[in-house]
Amino acid sequence: MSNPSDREPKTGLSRRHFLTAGSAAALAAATGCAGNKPVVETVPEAPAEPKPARINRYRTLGRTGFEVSDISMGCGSIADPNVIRYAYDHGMNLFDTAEVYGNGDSETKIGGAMEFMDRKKIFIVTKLGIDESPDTQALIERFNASLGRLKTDYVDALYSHGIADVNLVTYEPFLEACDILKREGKLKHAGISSHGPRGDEPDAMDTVLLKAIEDGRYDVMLLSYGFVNKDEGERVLQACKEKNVGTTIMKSATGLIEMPVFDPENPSEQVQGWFDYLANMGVTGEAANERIRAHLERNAPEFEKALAESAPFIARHGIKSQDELDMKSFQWVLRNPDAHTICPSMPTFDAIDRLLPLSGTELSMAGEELLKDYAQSFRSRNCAFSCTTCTTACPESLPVSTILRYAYYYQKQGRQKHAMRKYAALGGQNAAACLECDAPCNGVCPNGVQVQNRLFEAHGLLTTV
Amino acid sequence: MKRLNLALAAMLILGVAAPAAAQDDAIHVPVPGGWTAVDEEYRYGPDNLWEYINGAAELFLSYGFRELIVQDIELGDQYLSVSVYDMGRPLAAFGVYEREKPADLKGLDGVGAAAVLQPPYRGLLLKNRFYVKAEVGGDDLTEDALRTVLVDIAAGLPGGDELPPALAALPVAGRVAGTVAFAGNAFLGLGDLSGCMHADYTLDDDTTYRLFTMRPSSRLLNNQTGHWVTETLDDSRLLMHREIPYSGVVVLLGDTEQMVGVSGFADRDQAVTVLMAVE
Repeated sequence: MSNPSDREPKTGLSRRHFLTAGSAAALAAATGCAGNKPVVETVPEAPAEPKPARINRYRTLGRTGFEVSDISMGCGSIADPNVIRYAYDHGMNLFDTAEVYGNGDSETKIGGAMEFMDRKKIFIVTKLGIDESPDTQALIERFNASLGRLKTDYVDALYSHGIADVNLVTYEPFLEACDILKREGKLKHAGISSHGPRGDEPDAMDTVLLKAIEDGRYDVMLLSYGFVNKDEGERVLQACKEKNVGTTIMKSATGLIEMPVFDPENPSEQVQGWFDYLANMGVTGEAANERIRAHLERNAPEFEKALAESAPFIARHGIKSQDELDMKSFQWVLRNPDAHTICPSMPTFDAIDRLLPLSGTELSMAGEELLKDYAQSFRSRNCAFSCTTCTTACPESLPVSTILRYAYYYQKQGRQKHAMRKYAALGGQNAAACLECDAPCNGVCPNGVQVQNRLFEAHGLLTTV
Repeated sequence: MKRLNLALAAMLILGVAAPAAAQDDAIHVPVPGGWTAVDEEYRYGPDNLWEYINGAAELFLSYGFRELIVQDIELGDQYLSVSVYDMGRPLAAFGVYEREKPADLKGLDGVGAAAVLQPPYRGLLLKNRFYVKAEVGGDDLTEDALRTVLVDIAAGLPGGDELPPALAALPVAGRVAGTVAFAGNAFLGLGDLSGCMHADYTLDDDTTYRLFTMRPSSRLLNNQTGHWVTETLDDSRLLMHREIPYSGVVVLLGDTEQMVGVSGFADRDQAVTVLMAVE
């Protein structure tokens, strides 16, 4: 068994000769279905669609000198090379992938589209993880495998992937591998990406990336930046500007507004998503209706609370879908000239068509007001888990975001024992210390979380026997 | 992007992603004979999978990922990180395994439902609803040793060693060997086509096309994108079609519960002819 896309990209279908009228007729004759006249009722053909938009703004990607489209393509879940080709044909020219995306499948999909793109006009980013402390030679071998999958002689930028430990910024085997690959003509630039703390690696995104900028050996980087998580990102963008480092942006979309109103005949976007998901799991029809209805009834108080929080904002701005908010949040990033390109995931043609019209546009005043209102309305709901601002304000240096994440495991994921074990493993670094504290943390959270109250709640959950 | 958020919300809210750790019959990583566990196991759900694998989480989420259990194990100077992805159902695990398995590697016989060794540092295994990665750290393992590890892990996971029976739904005649796969979402680059079991087929004149089966979503049936043309046949079945960039048309035939589709033809009539014949 193998995925046909691995072996022969679906772009190959367009190169194969289509079934000719003759062979179709022969097949029909052989199978006896030539006379099947199927149509008794036909919905009128859809009207001709307007010509899709194109990218119409390019920016210089820092000292790489490459003129990059302001919207580029995150290829994390690409299932079809033709989607990449479509993005290229509409002006996108940076494609962001990684060895670990589908264990090379994402790179293979880009490779499948390569013959339809002018290599000199595109910028390929791939990434290698260094969690297992690979040596230089191992990294070079993995990079060469990526080159093979990408069907190219060189990669424009190789990122050290998802760094959350500031000490790994200067991981010499990676930087040495980059130097060797550059000398061999296989690589143009070293880069780095960070999402913030993860697992047992505690460092904030800006801590990692500011160190990388200062180090001077990284020409381009991938960071989280959006209007709901702007402070960290803006510190990094400013430093990148000063050192002329290229910036590519991820995680710019807003959070989800919950609008769970159950109406099977006219489902909301969110409920529709549930139906789609259940269909994918093999649950359809009345069984799906029942499952969603039962869930909504079971969780009515929580949903009512969420609806009550969301309803005024939705009514004020006439919001009809999550997509509207996402598009405005992308525009918010696009207006910043120091954010050279955004890399949202675009697994479908339709996703590309939705995003293309944003290229070169500016966020309107109304849009700006909407986003400010959104931030005011919703920001105190959740800890972002990705920054450590509150920890710097804590006299006890508690790992606040980590503790709140454990509470999240307990409450939202039902992983009570796991969460309590993790919390216990923090030893004395727990929220018992908050009892005697006057809470300087409460005013510092960029998301407006009342930190001490949340820590009290977390401590109660995670220490109850 | 949006669909991913929605899918994630669905998984969380509908409880289909309820972590097994909260249950008495929680899945644990089987520790192969002679090996010992290092530290405690880590568990990740749909909302924090990115913490462990960054953007690679997208692919797993698109297939309905439920839970990841990670356990590091050691044997002398040899060290392995074993990741067991509970994908919720065998077809989803099969789909991810096929996406992640390098195409040029030969599978191992008699190990789970399918397995492969990816030199120099990884073994991949499919077993029931589980997709497993065993990644080598420390001293290199021999291929035989890594194979033995995969055999033991497969034996320790619940369920049978057969491939998902649903794969048999695709017709055998004309099928290109080794092309059966399962797409979680965005099949053919279309957001409406999710949960598609598909394979490549050839006609006598070497023309190649793709055949797939799926349960249609209400989003598709309602033509929410506006891209589909829907026809009702005289036997009440639905026939839907639309163009795909660079790939001609895709045509679907069936009812609200199940549809069969083809792609790879230049126009609707050609595709319908083949589809009718296949049926």
